[in-house]
Amino acid sequence: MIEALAALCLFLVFVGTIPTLGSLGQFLLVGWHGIRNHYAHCVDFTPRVAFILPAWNEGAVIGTTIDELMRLDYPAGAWRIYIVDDASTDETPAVMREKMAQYPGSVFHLRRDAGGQGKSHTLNHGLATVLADDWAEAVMIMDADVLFEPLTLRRMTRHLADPAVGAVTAYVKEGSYPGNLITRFIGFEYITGQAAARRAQNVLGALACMAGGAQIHTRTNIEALGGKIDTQSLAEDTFTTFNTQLGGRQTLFDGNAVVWAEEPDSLGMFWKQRLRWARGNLQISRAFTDLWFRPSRHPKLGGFAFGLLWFSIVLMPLCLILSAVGAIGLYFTHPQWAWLGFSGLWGVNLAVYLFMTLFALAIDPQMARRTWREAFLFPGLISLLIMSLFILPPQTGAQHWLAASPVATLFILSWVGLSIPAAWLVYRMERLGAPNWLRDVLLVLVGYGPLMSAVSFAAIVAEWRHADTRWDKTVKTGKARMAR
Amino acid sequence: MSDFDRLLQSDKKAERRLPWCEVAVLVVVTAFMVWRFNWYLTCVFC
Repeated sequence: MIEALAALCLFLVFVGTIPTLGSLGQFLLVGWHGIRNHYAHCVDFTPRVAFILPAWNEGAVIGTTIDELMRLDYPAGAWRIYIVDDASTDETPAVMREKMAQYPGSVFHLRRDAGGQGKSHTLNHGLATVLADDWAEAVMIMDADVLFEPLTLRRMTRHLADPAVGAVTAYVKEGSYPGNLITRFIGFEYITGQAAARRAQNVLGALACMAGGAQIHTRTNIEALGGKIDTQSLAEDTFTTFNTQLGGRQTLFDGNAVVWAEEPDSLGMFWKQRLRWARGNLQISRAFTDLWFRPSRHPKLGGFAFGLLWFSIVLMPLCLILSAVGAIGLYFTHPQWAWLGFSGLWGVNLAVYLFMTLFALAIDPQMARRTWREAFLFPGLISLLIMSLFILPPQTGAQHWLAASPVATLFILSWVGLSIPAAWLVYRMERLGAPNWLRDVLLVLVGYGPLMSAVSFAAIVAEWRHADTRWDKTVKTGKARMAR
Repeated sequence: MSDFDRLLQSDKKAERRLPWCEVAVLVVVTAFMVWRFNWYLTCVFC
């Protein structure tokens, strides 16, 4: 009986490696993108593009965004900018009047009298206007604070000449200047989550999500989607991505097409943004229940590899908590297995951490120069310490030291799950007014990875409780700069 | 060669760098893990 329980606990410990191995599998595909990519099908194609920027109180950023868009390297007169003003109460209308006078015939102000319904409703207002005449051959959906590098539009449209392609998304880089610990963590996360993961998804042939900050669609694709985007969920970008692919049109990521955005610089704003994203992903999981692990529905999105990838991210906190429960159970039922099982778990974690961190830094050397410290601190100092402890050979005495201190042992065994509420506490401390230096010290100890898991767990709880689905906009202040 | 072709060639070259980077990192990490973790394999399999 005890043996069976210990075996179950050992199994639970290794459930904790599923998200890690999922990420590893994805990273192993990145290199293939050097051989298997869409560049062979690219031609010099410059369709007329309508940019749609939803804006609610974006007076601090919208002027700079428009100025940068007007500097694009693209045939004159072949792009227009539509700002959909969601009944802003700040200086947005005044900035728009100035920009329309500065760029006549290129910049348009679409004002909604009643706002506050969320980004998707605002975008749909813009889409209805743009699709009302036949000028636009492609539609760029973006955020009001996103800064385009001059060649980004050309890099995106070159894929659209292929009739199989419905949409292309760019690489959004974190560009806050001067930035802080949180924005640099996000900067590194975007290398792994976009520059790496989305290249791997290109290879797989199924993209999980196009960035809401920069996605271009052919007119055909937008019209096939009904001329509007989903308004029922918090993940309208992912809905659009899935529906495009389910409609038989390819979605692509171009890692060389770069835009810059301002991301949250406080845990409060971070939590609000990520909770929306994570809840959106859960809503997608529910909305497409007939798709997962069913290749007959869609050979790529319904494939085993994509399903495993999707759920290993969505259910990551549950895997980690189960792993901690298994480790504690193992400690009481079969201590020797606990040591071996947990050494194996942390050994896998260490190998994957080293590979992903070093490879991610090599993928984007520009961001690596800014974020390499955060890259190495990503799992948190406590996890790094545990990793180094558990790869020590038994003869170093680490086992004996741990055996002599059950509290320390239990803490270490359960840290993989315990780090999630610990990260939540760091967030709560900031909300309660803790100084930024204390927040940063604690964040470095606990880690940014556990913080992401904590948000995912909160999202699971919120969806479980059917919490209100409302659009919490993150505030942008104009701190983003392009690194030229 | 047009500006477009130059841009495309430069992006293709950037992508072709990825497999080499991946292999190099894999070799380094595997060597480190085998060196540092061989005691574990001995414990489990011997």
